[in-house]
Amino acid sequence: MIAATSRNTGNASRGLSGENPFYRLCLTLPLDSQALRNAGAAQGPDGPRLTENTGRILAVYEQFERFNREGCCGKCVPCREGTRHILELLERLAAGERRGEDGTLLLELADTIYSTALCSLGKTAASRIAGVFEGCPEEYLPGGGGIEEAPRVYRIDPELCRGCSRCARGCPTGAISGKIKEPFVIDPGKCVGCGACLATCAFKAVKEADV
Amino acid sequence: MNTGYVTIDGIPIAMEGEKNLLELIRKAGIDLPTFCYYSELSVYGACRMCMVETKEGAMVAACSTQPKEGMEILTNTPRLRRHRKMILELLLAKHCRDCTICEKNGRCRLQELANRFGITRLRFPGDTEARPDASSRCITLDTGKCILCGDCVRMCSEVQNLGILTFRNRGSRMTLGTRDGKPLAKSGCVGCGQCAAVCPTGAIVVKNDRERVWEAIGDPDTKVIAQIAPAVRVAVAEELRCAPTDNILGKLVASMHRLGFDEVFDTCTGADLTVLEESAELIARLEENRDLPLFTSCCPAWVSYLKQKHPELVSHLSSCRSPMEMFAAVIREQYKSSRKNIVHVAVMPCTAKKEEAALERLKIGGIQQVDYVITTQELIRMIRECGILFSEIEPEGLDMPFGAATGAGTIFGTAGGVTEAVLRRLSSDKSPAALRELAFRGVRGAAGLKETEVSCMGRTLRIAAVSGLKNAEDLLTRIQEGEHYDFVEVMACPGGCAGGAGQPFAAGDSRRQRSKELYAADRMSSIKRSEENSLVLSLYGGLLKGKARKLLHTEHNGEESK
Repeated sequence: MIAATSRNTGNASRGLSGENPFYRLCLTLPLDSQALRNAGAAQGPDGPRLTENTGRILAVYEQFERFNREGCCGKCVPCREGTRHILELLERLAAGERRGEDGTLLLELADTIYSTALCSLGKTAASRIAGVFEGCPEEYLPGGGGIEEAPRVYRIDPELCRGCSRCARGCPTGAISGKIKEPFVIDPGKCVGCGACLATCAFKAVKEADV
Repeated sequence: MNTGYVTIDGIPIAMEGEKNLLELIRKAGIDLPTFCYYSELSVYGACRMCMVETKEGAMVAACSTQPKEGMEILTNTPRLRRHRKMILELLLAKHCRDCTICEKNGRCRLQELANRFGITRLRFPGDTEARPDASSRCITLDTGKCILCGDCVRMCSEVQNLGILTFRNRGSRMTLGTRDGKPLAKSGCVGCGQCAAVCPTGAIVVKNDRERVWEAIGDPDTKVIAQIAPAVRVAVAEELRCAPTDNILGKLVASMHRLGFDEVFDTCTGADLTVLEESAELIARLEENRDLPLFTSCCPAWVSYLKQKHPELVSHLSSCRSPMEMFAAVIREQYKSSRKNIVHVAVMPCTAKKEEAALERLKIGGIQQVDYVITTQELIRMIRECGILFSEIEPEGLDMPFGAATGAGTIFGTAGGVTEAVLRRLSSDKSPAALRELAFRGVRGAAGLKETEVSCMGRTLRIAAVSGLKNAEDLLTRIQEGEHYDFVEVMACPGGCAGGAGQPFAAGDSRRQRSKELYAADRMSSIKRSEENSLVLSLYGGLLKGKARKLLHTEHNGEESK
């Protein structure tokens, strides 16, 4: 078993393997082409690629989008202008500098590019973005549950937290820090609202914060 | 030919050979938005505004999809509206938004569509800095306002065979520029301005000289004399909101008097001079059998093109000044003893004339003959600026002493007109029947290349009238391969001056309509042959005596130096 947040099989035009990269934090697929195909993933010309368990899955997408920006010819508007903004939005998301409607904007933009781009380069660039969110529980969506709702933010109740560090070890984005036996804190800038801490805390110290 | 029906928004529309869905949809009465589609250019499919949905839910670009029997197309679904708005938002994010101080204000396609789709908010950051290249006398290029639709690029290469405007870099770093990165003035641009005519935004606009004209008008010690080209009168009706059948020339003259022009003359008078001079030149060359075919020299963009691309053929160019320059020289001569300063303004359908006016070889005694060239659009602006109600104004006659022009001069405004006017001059049969017969010799119509044969001086002359520099280049190739012509008229703009870049934009039918109106004005004129213009004839005995060579002709040596 390979512990990895995600695995790309070598073709930047395809999304990450597995139907939900956030949800499937650990992939257990063996690295052979038949198994990859069964899982709905394609093997690209570079061979399979592993991504370290950095928890920065958005960074991987950023990398794909950068590849796309270099490949874009510049002819049609949605791909030329749109992919540039997608990259900027992803960079902001990955850096934890999400602004109010970024999530909605990202999805709307990806939808337009996917539907209207002249060639498949732009289309796949956009379909990957949809893949970031596809099949995710709603709260994973940047921008919140569904498209309209506000994002979920979690905080740790210092009175209930015993400082066991279990949540910090399980946090996919490394947003939780603290000293053992002292209350831990969640950095809202890094938190993507996945709720992993909520599920792992044995003391019910993780609460949904009011926004 | 495609036949059958396509269902558009539930209504069956018959196909009549339309090349793409877009044309069919527009025939159905839906003005599907586009930036990069012109029926006269190749299909580019870049703006993605004309996306439509098929019954199966697929999205296709209407401009690049062939209509097929039984197709069911939706042009207005929530998805499509959302995508169109998103594309506009993306374009606007990178576009200068100083609409109120833009030369294109009110005529900009991007502004119009943003208004139509109600774009009120932009969610993307973008670089909106202006980067104007104002080196050319004819047009200004501002890549900060460019949406990269490619219309100008295709116009420059496909229709005008120049290929000066081109895309530079790729992807999101793509910009519009000149082929070799030089400023426009040094790029080999001939100033035809067709790029500006098709530009949907203010990225390429015609240079404006209105302020300097206003200044001259405002100076009490200056006499401002205007000449107005034949093609102008058939292009202003729509923008000035009056019926095209009215006496537009009379209204223009009246408006220009109101604006403060002291004298207003008709360039058709200059055209009559050109006919006489050019016919004489043709006859002389036929007699000596040298430098045939004779190329017309009325169009400055063409002259500049020939000098640049085919210096070996320059001897074929007529030594005649263009009608504007001939007439300007005559006017200057007439008013040379005036106590006031003379400022001569030419109202032209043309952008290249702005460059021509400043050419060194056309100066007489070091004096520029035409001080300012303003385009039809600039005149329309000046009339609007003064609040003149064009539909109400009472027409006035042209001023004397140059108030007489012929039908032959009038048709100079359309492609093939110069040829027909020269043929009228050369034809030995002066009956009205012969005149009518000439009209059907193949020199009229919208074709880019028109050819005819006439007998003159005991031989059969092969004559061609061509518009669009690509068409001209094709003809030049044939000539260099040995095909013989005696007279070749070239106009750089498709359709001739009526389709000039200084005119309010017209393509297809509306451009053909302008030609029709010029021929209608010719039918209404009482004198149809230049050699019957007694005013022009009297000039030869008077003002032009001994000076015809100096005032009406030029030397075509070397490049067009500025």
